[in-house]
Amino acid sequence: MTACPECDATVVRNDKVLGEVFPCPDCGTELEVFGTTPFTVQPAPKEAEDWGE
Amino acid sequence: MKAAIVGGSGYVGGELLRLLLRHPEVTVAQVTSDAMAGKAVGRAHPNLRKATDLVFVPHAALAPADVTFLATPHGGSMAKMPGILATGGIVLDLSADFRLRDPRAYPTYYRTEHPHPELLAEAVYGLPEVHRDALRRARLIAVPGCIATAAILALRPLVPTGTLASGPVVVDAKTGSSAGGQDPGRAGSHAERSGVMRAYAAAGHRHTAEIEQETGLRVALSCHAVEAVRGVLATAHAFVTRPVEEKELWRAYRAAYGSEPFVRVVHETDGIHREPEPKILSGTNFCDVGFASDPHADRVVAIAAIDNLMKGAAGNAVQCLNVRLGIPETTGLDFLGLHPI
Repeated sequence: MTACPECDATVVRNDKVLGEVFPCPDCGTELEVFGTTPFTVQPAPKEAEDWGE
Repeated sequence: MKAAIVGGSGYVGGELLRLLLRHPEVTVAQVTSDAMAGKAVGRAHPNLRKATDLVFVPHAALAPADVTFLATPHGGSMAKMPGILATGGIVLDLSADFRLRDPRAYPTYYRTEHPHPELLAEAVYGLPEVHRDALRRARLIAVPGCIATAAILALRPLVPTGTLASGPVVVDAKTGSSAGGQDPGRAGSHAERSGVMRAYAAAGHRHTAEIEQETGLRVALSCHAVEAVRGVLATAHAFVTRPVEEKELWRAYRAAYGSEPFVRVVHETDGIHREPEPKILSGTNFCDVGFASDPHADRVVAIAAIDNLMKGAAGNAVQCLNVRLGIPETTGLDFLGLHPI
């Protein structure tokens, strides 16, 4: 497990894989799995304005 | 257990009935109303049609019950309480008559001397998040006011942080029309209420006393009527002696409410529902609390949203009863709300 960089909530790895994006259970921030051993996360990049067009 | 509801024709009485008619541990034996005596419960509360055969009886016909809910106007139970308690059951008073421990506060906030100050010392302020242990043994439970509930739950986690400045905390509360009860007079007419944004108590609101009692803070409370039927949104402005990081606020609110069944910490970084809002809480017993740090103004903003008739009255009363009975606090209170609404 690790902590959400935004709100310090405990974040559990379960079966998450490298690069997976998931929401923090408390503050809802989109987090990206940055490492698995040890388990680390960072805020996922937000979509730029022209993404998805 | 058998329950009686005194003053069951009002909005709070209707919510008590809605909850208790489906409560697995409670049978509603009697509902009183002088104004509606002889009429079916469904006449006052059309959502309860076919849900019960109960008929309102006059207050004078009140019989002893295992638990009695008093949903009467302020001042209605002060003098009668010794007689009600003498019947031996649990009493939950949803009026303000036993909320304040200091009898000197009653002339200030309710313009009356309290006839039974000895019972103020015995009454337990019915907020499980604050007085859970005392509620387990309570004979007389004073259910808090709606605005007070929201403000107290918003502010209490800030107190142990030791960051609050010595001056008053400003609480700005917005409330829907049902908080005024069924007979609010001209102020509640459609012409006056529709589209309203009115400061109905810019200063001196009665709930100030409850908030100060339960937080230990000096409170400057302003209350506004807004275009809604249900809901209270309390926004508290607490000035701090040093910058407070949001992670510290998360820790404080998590410590206070992490294991509470009805308080949810809501402070999200994205989406359209980032902070608490009462609209989605209609009919539920949740209190959503949130916060924001404002170092520019040496301020922490604490926010709480509730349904005034639920966590602000009937739902919280049932939660208190559940605590008193030693059964799961969520019993009969599992409605998650509606979205959209």
